[in-house]
Amino acid sequence: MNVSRRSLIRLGVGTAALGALAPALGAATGAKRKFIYVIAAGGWDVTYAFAPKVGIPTIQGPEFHENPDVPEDRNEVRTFDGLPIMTNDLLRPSVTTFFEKAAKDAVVVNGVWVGTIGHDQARYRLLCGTTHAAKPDVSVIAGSVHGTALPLGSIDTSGLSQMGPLAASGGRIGFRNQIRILVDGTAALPPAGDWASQIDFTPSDAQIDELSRTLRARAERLRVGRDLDLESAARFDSWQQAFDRADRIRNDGAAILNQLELASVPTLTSQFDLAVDLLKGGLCHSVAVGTNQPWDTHTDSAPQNIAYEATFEALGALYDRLLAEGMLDETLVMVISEFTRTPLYNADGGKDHWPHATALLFGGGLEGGRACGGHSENLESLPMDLETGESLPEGSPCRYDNLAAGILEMLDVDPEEWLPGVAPFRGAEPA
Amino acid sequence: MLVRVRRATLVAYTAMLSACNSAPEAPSPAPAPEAPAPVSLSPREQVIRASVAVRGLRPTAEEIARVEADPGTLPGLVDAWLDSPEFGATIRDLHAEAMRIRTDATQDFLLPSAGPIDDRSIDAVSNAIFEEPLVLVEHVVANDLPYSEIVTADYMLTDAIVAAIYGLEHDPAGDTWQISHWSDGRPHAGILSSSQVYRRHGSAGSNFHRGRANFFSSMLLCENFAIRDVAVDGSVNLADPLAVANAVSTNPACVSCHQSMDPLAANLWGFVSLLNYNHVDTAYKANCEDNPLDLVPKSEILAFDLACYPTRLYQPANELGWEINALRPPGYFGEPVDGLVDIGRKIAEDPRFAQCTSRRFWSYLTQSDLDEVPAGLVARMADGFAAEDFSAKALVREIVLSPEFLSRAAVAPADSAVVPVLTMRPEAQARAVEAITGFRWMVAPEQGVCSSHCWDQVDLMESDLYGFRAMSGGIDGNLVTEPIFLPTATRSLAYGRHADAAASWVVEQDTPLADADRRLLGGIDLGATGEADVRAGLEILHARILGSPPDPIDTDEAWALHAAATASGQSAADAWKLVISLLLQDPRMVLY
Repeated sequence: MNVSRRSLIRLGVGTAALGALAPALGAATGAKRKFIYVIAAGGWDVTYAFAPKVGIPTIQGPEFHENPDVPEDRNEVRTFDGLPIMTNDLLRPSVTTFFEKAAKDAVVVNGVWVGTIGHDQARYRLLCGTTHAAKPDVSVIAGSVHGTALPLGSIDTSGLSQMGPLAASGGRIGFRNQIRILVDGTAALPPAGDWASQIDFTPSDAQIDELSRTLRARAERLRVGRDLDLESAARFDSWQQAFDRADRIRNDGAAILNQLELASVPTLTSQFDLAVDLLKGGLCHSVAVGTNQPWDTHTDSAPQNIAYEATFEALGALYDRLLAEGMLDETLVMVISEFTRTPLYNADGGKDHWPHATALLFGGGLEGGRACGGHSENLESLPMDLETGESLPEGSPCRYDNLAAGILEMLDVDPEEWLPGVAPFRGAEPA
Repeated sequence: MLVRVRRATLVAYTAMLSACNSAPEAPSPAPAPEAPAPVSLSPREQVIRASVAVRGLRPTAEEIARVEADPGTLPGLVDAWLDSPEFGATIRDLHAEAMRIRTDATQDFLLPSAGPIDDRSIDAVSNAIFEEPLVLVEHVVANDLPYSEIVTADYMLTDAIVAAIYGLEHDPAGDTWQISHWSDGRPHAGILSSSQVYRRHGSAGSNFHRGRANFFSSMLLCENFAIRDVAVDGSVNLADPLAVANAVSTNPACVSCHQSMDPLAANLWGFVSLLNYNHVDTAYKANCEDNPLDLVPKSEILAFDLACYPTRLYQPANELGWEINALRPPGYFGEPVDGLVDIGRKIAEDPRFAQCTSRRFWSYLTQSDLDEVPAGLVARMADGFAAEDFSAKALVREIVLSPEFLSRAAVAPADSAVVPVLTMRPEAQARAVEAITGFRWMVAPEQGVCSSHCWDQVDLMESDLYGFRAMSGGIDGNLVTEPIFLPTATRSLAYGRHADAAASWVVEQDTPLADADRRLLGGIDLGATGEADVRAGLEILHARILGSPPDPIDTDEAWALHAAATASGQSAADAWKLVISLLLQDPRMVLY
């Protein structure tokens, strides 16, 4: 094949055309893991769990905020199936609980070099493997490649997913589950004031099907005879794909989406449950979820405990659910925050941004109980062997793009097509 | 995404598609064909594209007919549209995207209904505070003042809610939005002084306003420091402000960015670092007594009494914070400056401002990537912009009447651009549908579940929290930061439901009215089910909604829908709703 998928995406080629490539790639790479991408937006402090740093004068971890009057408020490093984790069973008991059961299936990737301390830019880099916000993230890429026959390739419950030129393959749930309004003809929010009672018309399913068919036919007639640039061609392609996928969502997604509680505030646990339902129900190949926790602790570090506890309580439930559904080995879960926080507390008792990240991976059949990479005594990314994940003084730090390329590879997507020239991080499942 | 395609890539693309459909091996590259020259859009296409771009509305049938009869009338129409309120809405939308200022889904950036605005709904407060900087820009553009006034204006605009929040003068008997002035001692420099800009772009911890400086640099000069790699020296104790100050001044890893960014940031110290919803809410819960507010950096004493309305977002006593923290003094890319007003003047005089403005307007109106607008095109637009005394109207006029905008081409000529088929943004789709049907998709999302300080009335096409803006390709200003112009499944579903509701609304509204008083359905026998009458009505509707008589196949399709509906027992009214919904979703409506 002469043209890389990368070049086509850069040029904005429609995903309908790209979808034609998927079978060839999939056939060459065997089984395809499903993917749940959990984004802890704000910047978690990795010393609270993944990167225990005790007794190092240049790093202040959670032990600096222990309450001497509360004996149970103690941070200690414990090892779970070989994975060293900082724990506090008073303030973050769910971290302990999670790793007690899941460490054997979990890999921690420490010391991922992000190269920026801005929230958005760091998020783009880690999610997409590039500095450009208009590129698709790994969840969307995997969904577009493997989800061509599904209603959607990827679904975002968080707002954090970057869709870029693959947007036609993805979808968003909405912050208050409003996708239900679009799928369930009986669901609606109360009309406001004078707008009430005049808008009770909903076409029948058959009529919606006919509208969809007609609108696709009209777009095709509009396109015929035009000498189009590639972006315009992509938009016409996407028009067809959008209606096709919309039909599939209505027909195949109603059983799940019609159960969403309209206008409610989703909890993290409910989002994870929805993610599993969506994957199990075959509505998509990958799901992005945001933790929606107070990670950005510039003025007070106590919320780190709250955020860790809430996140790991829900992650524990997700682990249990995936296990119970028999989906754990076929579903890779990646939990990541855009960076960690500074080694030392600032004058306000908080910590600022520090451009070195940590990722937690579990499920997907990983052989867990391992921590890859590491941080220096200044909490900087240590060089590692990208093939094994082991620290290697003569190596180089795992960069954000190495990690993204590695995740794509783990998801049976050829990273060279999307992040050309980037060496994939392979330490999570070394040969 | 702006597409500038090499001929060889096009050939390869064609070859790839062929290979996917037939053989696994790609055929040998075909000889490169000559790139066809750009082709002008038809007069109809031109007037539609220009109208939607300028004002988010489709042209009337009369406007289309006028341009079809004489294409030379298009510039005059554009001039008229540039004076319309809808163009003001477009300008606000453009800048809302650039500033990421409409953030109804992120509570931090909202403000509570409390104190003097205790009786206001959250949506009313949100709409007011979001629009505060946008209305200023609209005022500058609508009055054809030099666009640079957005960073030099010695005034601001406020409505009653913003006035109550910040203690501003506002005449209740006057216009909704009035010229006024900040009253907390801040200098006036257009949007550089806007409260909501600083609230949206906070400065946490020891960021020391650098994020804000980068926002202004990025938005106004297209100079984005954040995209550069940061190699933070781990040996620097970031907990020690003096060590940080020393590092950003002397450490080679830090200096390259900080020598430009920090002097800009030094001008912003008077603005408190953060003032989020919770800060004000907490202050009110503490009865606005003079307690230190723990949630902001302790280095800034923003007491509860100052967080309550009228809140004091600006603290003159903090202006020298840069000096206290041993940071670089105020400056502008190597030049000394005298405060925020001087910064505004420097930006206005900076050639990058005209170039960035031209780039941003082109990018927005052509739905192309800001970073990929060809340099030659930017230079051409910027020269014209400067020559027209920074008239944003003239800039928009030049863009929408440019050969690139009014033509199509498979391949862009050198240093030019192809403007692709454009897609209705959700805000424009909402305006266009409202103009045709009178309908706005207003809901009361918390009715029955909230008794005070509620979301009262929300337009689902302009909301991200409860509605479909971000799900239809828009941004939410915080998490969803990149607009999507490709048709998507959720956009199709949302536009479909919107169209259903609008169709229902207009049929119900028009039905009891006399024919001459109807908004859309005048001249149509709404009770008719006979083919001739229905087809006649469909032709009227097609012309009114899409601005042209239908092709026979259009009418056949619509008639089939209408007839099937009535044949299945639905009312004639419902059948009309169905075909109106079809027309409101038509690709000729959504793509332009």
